[in-house]
Amino acid sequence: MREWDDFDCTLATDLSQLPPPPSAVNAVTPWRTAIHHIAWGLCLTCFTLQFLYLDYLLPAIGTVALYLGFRALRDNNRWFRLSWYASICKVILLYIAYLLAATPFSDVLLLPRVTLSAVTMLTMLLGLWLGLRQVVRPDSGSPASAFWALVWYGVLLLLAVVQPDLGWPGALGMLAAFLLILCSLLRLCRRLDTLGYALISAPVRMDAGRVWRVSLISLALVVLLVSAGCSHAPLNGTPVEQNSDSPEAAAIRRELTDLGLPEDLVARLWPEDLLRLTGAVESTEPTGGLPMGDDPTNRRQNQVYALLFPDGSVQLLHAFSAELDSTFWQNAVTLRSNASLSEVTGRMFYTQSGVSKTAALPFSETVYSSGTDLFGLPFYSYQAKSALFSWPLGSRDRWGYVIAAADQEANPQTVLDDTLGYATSPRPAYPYQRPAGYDWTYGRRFYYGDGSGLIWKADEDASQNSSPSS
Amino acid sequence: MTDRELLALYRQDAATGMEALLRQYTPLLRYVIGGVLRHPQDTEDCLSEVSLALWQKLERFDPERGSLPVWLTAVARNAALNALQARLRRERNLPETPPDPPTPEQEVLRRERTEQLRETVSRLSEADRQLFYRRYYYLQPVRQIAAELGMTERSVEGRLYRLRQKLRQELGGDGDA
Repeated sequence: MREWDDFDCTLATDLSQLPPPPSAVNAVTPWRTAIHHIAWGLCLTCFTLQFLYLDYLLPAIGTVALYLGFRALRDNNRWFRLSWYASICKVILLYIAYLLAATPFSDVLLLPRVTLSAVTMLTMLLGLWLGLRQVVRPDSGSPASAFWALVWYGVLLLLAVVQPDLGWPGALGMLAAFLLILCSLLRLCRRLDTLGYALISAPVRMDAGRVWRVSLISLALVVLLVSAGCSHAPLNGTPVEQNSDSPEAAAIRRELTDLGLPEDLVARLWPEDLLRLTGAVESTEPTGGLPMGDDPTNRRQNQVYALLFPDGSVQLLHAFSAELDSTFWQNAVTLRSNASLSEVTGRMFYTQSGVSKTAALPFSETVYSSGTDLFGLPFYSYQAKSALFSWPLGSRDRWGYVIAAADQEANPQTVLDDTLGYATSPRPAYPYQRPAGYDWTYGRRFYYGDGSGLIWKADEDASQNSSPSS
Repeated sequence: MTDRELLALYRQDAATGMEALLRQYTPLLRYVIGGVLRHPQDTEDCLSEVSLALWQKLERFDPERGSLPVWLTAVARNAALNALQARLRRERNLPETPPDPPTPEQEVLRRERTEQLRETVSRLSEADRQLFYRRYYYLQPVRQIAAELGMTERSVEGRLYRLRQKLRQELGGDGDA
């Protein structure tokens, strides 16, 4: 550091006649910056606002503030150092939580992470209280406010666990506990107006301003990148080879065409899917009535068939165009039926750079829903299978089909429903979520004609082609 | 205790009031003196002197003219500065002669300079003003300033350099300030 010259000495001498104002004297303390960081950090991490991403932004700011506050106090004693270590843990847990929230794995180790986060917060408050108690001289009074902040945070945690059961009284209790934490912190700051001069600030290697920028910008960038990556898993398409069918495949295609399926649809069925459709004895078209869903004019060119087999099984085939609504980011296809679905497979087709490609749909999720009528009797039950995917950049001429085995005997109703829903998410979502709702749905019904509850009976004489559907 | 209560207690019972005041404000006094003298023993010696001096000076404190912490800070700072100057004179083997009283012209110049300094400081940003007072009023070392503001020493030195250049430009060079 440079030696003082006459100018510096003159400034220092002249200030003897010009003491600083009260605001400047209040600001020059060893503790104010650190304790304000800690107080703000506790406020922003204890309570969240559930809009405009404030439930992510404010805790992130609060966690960094806690780290900066305890960083400054760490050299006073082991308790402050313990709080500093706990604040580092909290930063790491925050990064992990925010990254996982950008992926489909946000629930991984959720309970251990939440527990650890609560423990680190309690440790920080415990260290704050014990650290202040050790620094402040006994005859100057004890920092009881820090103790009460710890107690009320414990109450807040307890209420957070039981609040779902307590309802509104629990929520009001949490709000009261939070306000009491604020009051304790304000009392602590006032107490430190005289006691805090005993604290020593530790030297740092990185300015607080740079810590803010590095931590928050890096967190935002990583979250954005992971979110974009997780919400865009492009179909791994392979070129559609224009080789001629094997004799077996060609025979199956002829069978299906003879059953009444459109030739262009049959021509595009994938060989593996052809094999599971071989042996069908009848193709049943949806029975009368308007289609279900919000695409009554069938702009998406849905084609729905139920293929019937001699053993009484049914395979649903649902083809559709995805040209109108697809988005680059995330798309979801959901097949829903009141029958029990199994062996659900699908395939999407598209053109990219002039090359026709195809990829299998990754069906993974099963959703069940049911309802009862006024008399408590089962009114409906549905099972849905869903697949998430993203279209490759520059893909066109998009269409696809889904095939599913429908266990009609598990269906207590008098119709067999088939509904396909298509959902899109035009941009990465944070936290990660599947596309919500449906951009469009299209469904058809197959009625049971003879009241047996089956559109096809295995013991019917197949040669008579008896079809109970009307 | 609030400052008003402390002063009321002092007026009621000087010994009890002074004891309460010292108990409450000794950390502040030690903080101010320690920033100037930096040596623990020198700090404690000066603190003892300030504590004794307060017995005589507290009678003259007028709460209408300023706050008690500001006044105590000024008393401690000036006492520490005097102690520092005495120590420097001893180290340099300079005679302990009292300074000559200022001439009327010097007094006028000093007042003009002080007023100019007041205006200049009032135009500084909040962050620069705090840096200015810490360095030139509290005489804190760069290490302490950096730690308490959460900055690196290099950052503080850089900001102090720019601040000093700005003050020199506004107040004039070495000969004028």
